[in-house]
Amino acid sequence: MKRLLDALHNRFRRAAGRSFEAEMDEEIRFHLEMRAARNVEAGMEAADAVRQARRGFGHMDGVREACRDQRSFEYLREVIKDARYGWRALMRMPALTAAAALALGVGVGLMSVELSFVRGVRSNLPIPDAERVREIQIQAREGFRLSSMSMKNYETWRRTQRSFSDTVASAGGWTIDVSGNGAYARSYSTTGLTSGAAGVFAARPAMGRMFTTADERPSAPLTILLSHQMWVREFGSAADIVGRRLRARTGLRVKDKEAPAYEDATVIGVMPSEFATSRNTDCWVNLSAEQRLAHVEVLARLRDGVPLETAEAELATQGTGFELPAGVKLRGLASEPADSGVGSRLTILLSTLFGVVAGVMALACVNVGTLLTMRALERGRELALRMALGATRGRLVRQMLVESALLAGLAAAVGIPLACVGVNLLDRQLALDETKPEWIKLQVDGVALAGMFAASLIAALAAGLLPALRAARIDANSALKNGAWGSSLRLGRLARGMVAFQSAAACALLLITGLLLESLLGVTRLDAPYDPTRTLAAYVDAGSYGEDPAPVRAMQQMLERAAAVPGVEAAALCARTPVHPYTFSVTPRDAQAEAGKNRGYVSYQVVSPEFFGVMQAPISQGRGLTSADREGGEPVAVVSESMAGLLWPGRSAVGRQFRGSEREPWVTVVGVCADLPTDNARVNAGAAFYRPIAQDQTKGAFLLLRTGVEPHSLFRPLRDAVHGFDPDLPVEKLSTIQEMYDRRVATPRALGALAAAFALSALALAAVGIYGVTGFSVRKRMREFGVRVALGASPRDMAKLTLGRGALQLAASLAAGGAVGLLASRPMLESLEGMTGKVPPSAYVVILAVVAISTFAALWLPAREATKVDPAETLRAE
Amino acid sequence: MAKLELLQGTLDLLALSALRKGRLHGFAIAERILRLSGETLAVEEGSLYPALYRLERQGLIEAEWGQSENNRRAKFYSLTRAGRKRLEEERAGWRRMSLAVTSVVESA
Repeated sequence: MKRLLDALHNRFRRAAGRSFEAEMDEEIRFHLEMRAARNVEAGMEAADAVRQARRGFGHMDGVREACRDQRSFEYLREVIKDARYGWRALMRMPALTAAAALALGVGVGLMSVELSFVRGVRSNLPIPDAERVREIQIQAREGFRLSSMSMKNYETWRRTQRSFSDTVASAGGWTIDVSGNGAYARSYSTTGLTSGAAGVFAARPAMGRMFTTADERPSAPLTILLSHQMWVREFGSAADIVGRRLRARTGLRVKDKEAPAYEDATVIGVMPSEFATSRNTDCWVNLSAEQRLAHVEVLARLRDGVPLETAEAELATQGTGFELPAGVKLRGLASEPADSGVGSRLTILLSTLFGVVAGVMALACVNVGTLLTMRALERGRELALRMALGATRGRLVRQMLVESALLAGLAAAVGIPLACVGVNLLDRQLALDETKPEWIKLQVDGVALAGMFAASLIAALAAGLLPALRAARIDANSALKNGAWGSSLRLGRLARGMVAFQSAAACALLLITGLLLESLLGVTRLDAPYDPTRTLAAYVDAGSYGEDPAPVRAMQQMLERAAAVPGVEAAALCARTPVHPYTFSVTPRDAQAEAGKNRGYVSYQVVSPEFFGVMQAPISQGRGLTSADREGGEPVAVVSESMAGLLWPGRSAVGRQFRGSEREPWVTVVGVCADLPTDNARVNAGAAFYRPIAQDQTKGAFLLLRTGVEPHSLFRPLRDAVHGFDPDLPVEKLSTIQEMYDRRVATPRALGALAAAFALSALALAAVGIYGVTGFSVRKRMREFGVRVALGASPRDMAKLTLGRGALQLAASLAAGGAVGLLASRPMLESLEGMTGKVPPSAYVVILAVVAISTFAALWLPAREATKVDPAETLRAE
Repeated sequence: MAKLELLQGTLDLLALSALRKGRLHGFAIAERILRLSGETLAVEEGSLYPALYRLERQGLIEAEWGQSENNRRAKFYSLTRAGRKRLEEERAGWRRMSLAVTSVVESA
C-alpha cells in the first residue's frame, strides 16, 4: 500500500514537473556523498575525498543537461525556457529587434493589403456557385476579346448553344427618367435584362416576379424591376408596389437615335438587397426583342455536369453568322469568370504593384536575415560560452530558432493591425468611386494574411538557422580565446554585399512606386482658378424638347431661371462633365503643316458665353463667345493657351482655323483663354477648345453655378427653379465640382496611397538595413579604429576610411537599381496612360536624390561614430 | 592494473545487468559494475545517470524513492518486465559478439 502511495506521489510530482530538477540534484548529491564517504573509508582526507568524488563524476552541468534531454516532455518546457531566454536576448538589443520586427511586419501587412485588394476587385459576382457562371465573349482573330456583343448575336447564340442551362443578356450603364412618383421626374441608373436572369443569378425576387419571355416579345410594354435600395428610398418600402403604373423614358427603348419619350411602365417586382448585376444600378428593365442593342453583356450558367472545358470547346466553334464591328475577324467564342471587369482593367497596374510588394517583402526578409546574422555574429562569444558550459549543439540551434519564431510573432503583431487598417482605409476610399460596383467590398484576406505570416516565419527561421548552424560548429576554445569571433574579412564582404543589394533594390522599388505615385498624384490635385467647393454642377436632359435647336433653347431658359436663384453669383452651361471633357484629335488649317502632321489630342467642351466668367478663365487674346455666335453663323471657338501653343507655336492663334475630321467644317479661333484643369492628365492636359452651345446639337447640359453661399443649401432652390420651368425634367448629378472630381479620382487616389506606402516602406527598410549592417561593421572594427586613431588618424581620415568605399558602391548600386526600376516602370506607366498624369523628368531626379540621400545618411551615421573613437576606451574595452 | 575505457554503447547493457539481481540506487549500480568487472571497467560515474534516465524513459527500468542502507533518501532503480526481456536479448547478442571477436582476435 505504501509503495502504491509513493508511486502515485511520484507520478504527481513527475507530472508537476517542478520537482524534476530538485530530484535530479538530490540524486546526484547522494551519489557524490556516498562516493566521498567511500573515499574517506579508503583513507583520504575529507576535502580530498569530496574533490576526488566530483572529479570521478565528470562534468556536472553536462550530466544535468544530458539527463534533462532524456525526458520527452521536458522538450516543451525547454522551448518555453528558450522563449523566455530568447525574449530577454531580443530585448537586450531593442533597436535591432524593433527594426527587424517592423521590417517583417510592414512587409507582411502591405503584402496582405495588396492581396486583399486584388482579391476584392477580382471577386466574382455575389451569386451562388458563381464559378459556374461565365461571361461569354467574342474572340477576335487579331488576339483580343470583345466583352460585349449585339443583341442579335446573343439571340443567334442562345438558340444553338447546349453547354449552358441558363443565359441572360444585360445592358448596364443606362438611365431611366421616372415621372409619376412624387412631384418631379427623377433620373435613375438602370440595366436592361432579358429572361433567364433568375437561372443565371440563381435569384428570386423579394416581391413580384422577374422578367419572362413575355417581356421579350417585340411590342412588350416597359416593365421595371426595382432594387431593394430604390424601393426603400424612392417608394418608401410600399407594400403595394407590385403592379404600380409609372411614366418612364429610357434610351434602352429607343430605336435609331430618337429622343426617348415617356411611356407607360409597370413595376413587376423588387429584388432582395444582396442581388447585383455587374454594374451599380437602381433598377432593371426588360429588353424586348425589337431593341436591336449593339452592346449587351452575356452571362451563362454551366449546365449541371458539363465541365468548363467542354463548354469552352463548344464555344470555340460558335459565332459563325455573327455581325461584327468593322475590321474584326471571328475566331470563335470564349468565356471568362463573371467578375466586375475592374480587375482586368487594372491588370498591369495590379501586377506591377504586386511585383513591388514582393520586392518590399524580399527586402524585408533580406533585411531581417542580415540583422539576425549580424546579431548571431555579435553573440558568438555568448554561444561559445554556453557550449563550454555544456549546452549541446542541438540546444543552441533550437535557441536560435525559438528567437526567430519570437521575432516572427512580433512581426505579426505589427503586420496584422497594419493590414486591417490599410484594407479599411482603401475600402473607404474606393467606396467613393461611383464606377465601382457596390458588391465589391475589400476585406482583410485571411488566407493572404496567413500565407504572408508563414512566409515571414520561414524567412525568420531561415535567417536564424544559418547563424545557429554556424554557431553549432564553433570551437568553443578558439572563440573564447580570440574574443572577436568569425572572420572579419568574410563579414566585411557579406556586409558590403548586403548594403549594395539593399540600396539597389530600394532604388528600383522607389523609382517604380515614386513614378506611379507621381503619375497618380498628378490627377488627384485639382488646381483650379475657380473655387471647386463653391461651384455647383447639375445635369439636365432636355432631349424631350425634340429636334435642334429646341433643347438648347430650353436649356438657355433654364439657365436664366437658375441664375436668378438667390445665392447664385454667376451661371453658365456646358455640355460635357466639367472636369472630365471629351478628347478629340484636331488638325490646324495651315499652309506649312500638311494634313496628318502637327495634329494633337485636345479636350473638347461646349459652353455658353458665361462659362469663362464662372470658371475664372480670363480671355487673354481676341474675344470670348457671345450670344451672337449662334446656329447657322460661322463656326467659332475659344482655345486654351496650351492648345494655341500646341497648334500654332510662337504665333497668334486668333483668326486661325482647325477641324476634327475632313467631313467637318473648319472652325475659326476667335479668342484664347487660360488653361483649366481636368481629371484627364494625359499629354496636352491643358489643351482644350470651347465651342458655343448654340452651334452644337446637344440634347442636355450641365448648369454651372458659382455660389456665394453654402452650395448644398442651393440644391433644393435649384431643383425648384428647373422644375418650375418643366416638372418632367429630372435634375441629375447635382454636386460641387470638387465632389465630382473626388469621385472621379477615387481609385487613382487609393492606388496612389498604396503606392506611397510601398515607396516609403521600401526606403525605410533599406535605410534600416544599411544602417544596421554599417553600424555593425563599424562596431566590429572599433579596435582597429582605436589603433588608427592612436597612431594619429584624424576624424577626416576615419570618415574617408569608412565612407569612401561605401559611397562608391552606393553610386554603383543606385545606377543598377535605377536601370531596373526604369525598365520595370515603363509598361506600367504605359498602361496607365490616360488614367494618370505624365511624369515630369524632375521626378526621376528627385527620387534618385531621395534614395541617395537616405542611403548615404544610413552609411554616414555609423561612420560618424567611427570618427569619434576614443582609442584609450576602445582598446581597454576589448 | 589500468582501467579500461568503456566500449561505446555498452553502458546501457552494464546498467541493466547490474540491476538483474534486484533494485539498486545509482551509486550502487556504479559500484556493482566496478566490482563485478574486477575493478577494470571505469564508468565515468556522471555518465551513468543520463543512461539511467534514458532506460527509464524507454520503460526498461523504473525508479522510486526509498531508504538507503545508511537511512538516506535515495532513488532506487529496478528492471521492468520489458527491461528483463531486453537484458536477455542483449546478453545473448553480447555473448555471440564477444565470442566472435575473441575467436578473431585469438586466432589471427
